[in-house]
Amino acid sequence: MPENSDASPIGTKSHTSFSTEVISRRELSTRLLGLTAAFSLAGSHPAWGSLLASAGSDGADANWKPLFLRANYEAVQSLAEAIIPGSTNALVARFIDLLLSVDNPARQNRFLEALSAIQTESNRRFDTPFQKLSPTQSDSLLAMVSTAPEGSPLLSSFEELRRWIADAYYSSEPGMMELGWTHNMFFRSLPSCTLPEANL
Amino acid sequence: MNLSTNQAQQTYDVLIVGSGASGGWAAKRLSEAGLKVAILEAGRPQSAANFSEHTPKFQLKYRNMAPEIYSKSRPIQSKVYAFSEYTADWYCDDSQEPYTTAQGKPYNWLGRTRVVGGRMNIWGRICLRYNDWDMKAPLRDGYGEPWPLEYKDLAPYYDLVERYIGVNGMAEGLEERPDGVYQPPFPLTCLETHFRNRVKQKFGRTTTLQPTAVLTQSLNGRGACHYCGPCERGCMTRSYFNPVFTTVADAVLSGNCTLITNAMAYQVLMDPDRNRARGVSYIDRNTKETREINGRVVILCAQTQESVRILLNSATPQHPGGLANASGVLGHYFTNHIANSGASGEFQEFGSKPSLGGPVRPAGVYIVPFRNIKGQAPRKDFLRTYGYEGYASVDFNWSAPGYGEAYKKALHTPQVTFSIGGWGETLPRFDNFVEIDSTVKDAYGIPVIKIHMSDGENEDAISKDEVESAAEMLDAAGAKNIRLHPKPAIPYRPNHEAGMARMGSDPKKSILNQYQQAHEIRNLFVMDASGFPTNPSPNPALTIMAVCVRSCDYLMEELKRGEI
Repeated sequence: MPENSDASPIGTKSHTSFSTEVISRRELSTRLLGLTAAFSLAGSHPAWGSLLASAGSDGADANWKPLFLRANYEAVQSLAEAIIPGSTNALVARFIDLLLSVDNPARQNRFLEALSAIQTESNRRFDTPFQKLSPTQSDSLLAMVSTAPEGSPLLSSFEELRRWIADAYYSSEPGMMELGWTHNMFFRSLPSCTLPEANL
Repeated sequence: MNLSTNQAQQTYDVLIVGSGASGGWAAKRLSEAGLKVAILEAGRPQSAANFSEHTPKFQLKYRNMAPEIYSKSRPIQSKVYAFSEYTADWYCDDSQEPYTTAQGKPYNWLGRTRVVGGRMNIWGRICLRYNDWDMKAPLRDGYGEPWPLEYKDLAPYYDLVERYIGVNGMAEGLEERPDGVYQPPFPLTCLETHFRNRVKQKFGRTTTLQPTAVLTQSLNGRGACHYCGPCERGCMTRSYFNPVFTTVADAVLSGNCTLITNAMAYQVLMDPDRNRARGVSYIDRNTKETREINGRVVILCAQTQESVRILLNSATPQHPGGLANASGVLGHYFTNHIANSGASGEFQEFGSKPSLGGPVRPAGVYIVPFRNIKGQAPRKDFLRTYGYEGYASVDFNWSAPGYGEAYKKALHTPQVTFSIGGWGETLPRFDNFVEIDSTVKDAYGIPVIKIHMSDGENEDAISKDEVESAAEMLDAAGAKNIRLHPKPAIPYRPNHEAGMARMGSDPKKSILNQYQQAHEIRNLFVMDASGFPTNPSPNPALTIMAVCVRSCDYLMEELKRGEI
């Protein structure tokens, strides 16, 4: 074979083939091992990550500091937990901080304005910022802002923040698992329609 | 890249620029026949180590939710459907490889991949055949030039390509969309079945599974699909067709093919005394050095605009308007598809529990063209036709009201949507063209192209009908809350560019003959979609491959006869 400069593509004519039998977790691991050898996959192939990842693997660095939210971090964390329970464990506020740190000024400002609107309402009603509210107070506030009139600044602010929090939570491992994601990526078949008209 | 002395001095039988749909096939076909071939690939090597189809979002730094990080490096490439944080570095850096556009005519040149296999790493995998009605349309309506070949010429090559790449689909027995050689199809969902039956009953139109280059049965050591979903991020079981682990791999394994990566082709080098191509110059992306490589035959498979750019940049005193351009049509008759005008509607009665878990079917449905087809009176408002791609989805209710556990629960109320978007033919017009912009060079010192592309009245009329007909079919199928999706102000341009070095029987009106051989330079071929005289509504990749293999067989016969 002529020398290939830089690199040659993967490729071998004789490699693992697959049939459609049930694939167990153990078989899957075996097959991945086989594929790793056959395809020269590095041990760090992302597929391994999806199989082996554990909850909270995005890290709990004790020295972590907010990149963008800074003084607002606690408020975002409190709001996240109140709006989507489980957000604290899923490090939702950290992830929002990371996203905002690389976002454009318009979106950054929209987020901060929404946060400010909620804080203003919290201060107006309870004379204290959201992160200091009791559970009863925060529930009362969220009940009010989430049912504010359609098109009102308060409802828009609530929805803006909820969108960020939901996106962050449901892209985390615990959030994805709540939505039915599993580590399994190998399925032997697709469901078929069993309605009578499927046979027309 | 270190180019060995041997490579620099060797004269290959064939130089192929590009390793995508056509480049991969040309390399496979010719090297397996014993010809010494070199592939020049602008991108870097590709391997399974770069595949990420099983990587969940939470393992990405930004979970594919920070588009702003590409605002400087890939503001254009990030618009393509397959672009994501997973594979961003498969695409060119727009700031390094710019192009320009005519004033008032914005054009998003998408899918400029820079890895072995090219766009076939990220393609939609839909494999539809053309027919004579498509290819001979100019003879009926007088617009453009007909293809210089017929369906019967292509049919055996369609068969050959489909058998090798593996296409699953439903045979429908329709003249307007010829069936292929199919593996067993993916099953339709109940909603798709319902839609198919209602639309057939009401309008006589056919909704079928998209014939898709994804295996449902093992083939040549490649595994059947395991339904994980995101084919555009790679496939460790090699179930979708990608030249990286098929055609290009076969070519290299033949022992007759040298793959040179990170090689930005610049010019076809000419021997002016013999009016023959003698090689290709290219820029090493890593060192930015200019290099030359010699070949008896040159085949451009670089992608439509890229191949035409090379031809235009290769102008010589003998070929002042670009190589093989005595006709003056090189760079003209640029076409793409009119994509995604359509409608969507809700079918809550087909709701099932939404889930992020699999299995996922990597294909939608296809509605076979029903306008201006054989046997119909031609429409007065537009020429040519279009088909639809359709996708049914069961999503979470992200706009549910409230917060807390109640919101979490409400999320699971299924949102069932069926969306259909048209893919229509654009007319080949002389005033849609590209030229070299001599004022701008890319990071490798190669002059860039300036694109002049806009839609005309015909394209607008097709878009309008795509929207109206989509809504009409959704309504007939019982959809609620139908939403119209008209063409946006800056149209989405899919990776379906064609034309500008068109094939034809008359050298005064075309660049290439029916075998994609330059009329004026016998050892120069262009085997990507640049040679397409028209751009019929079906997705072009299958035809690119079939025409390429046919041209390679012709090339080998000509070499045997000493005609090249």
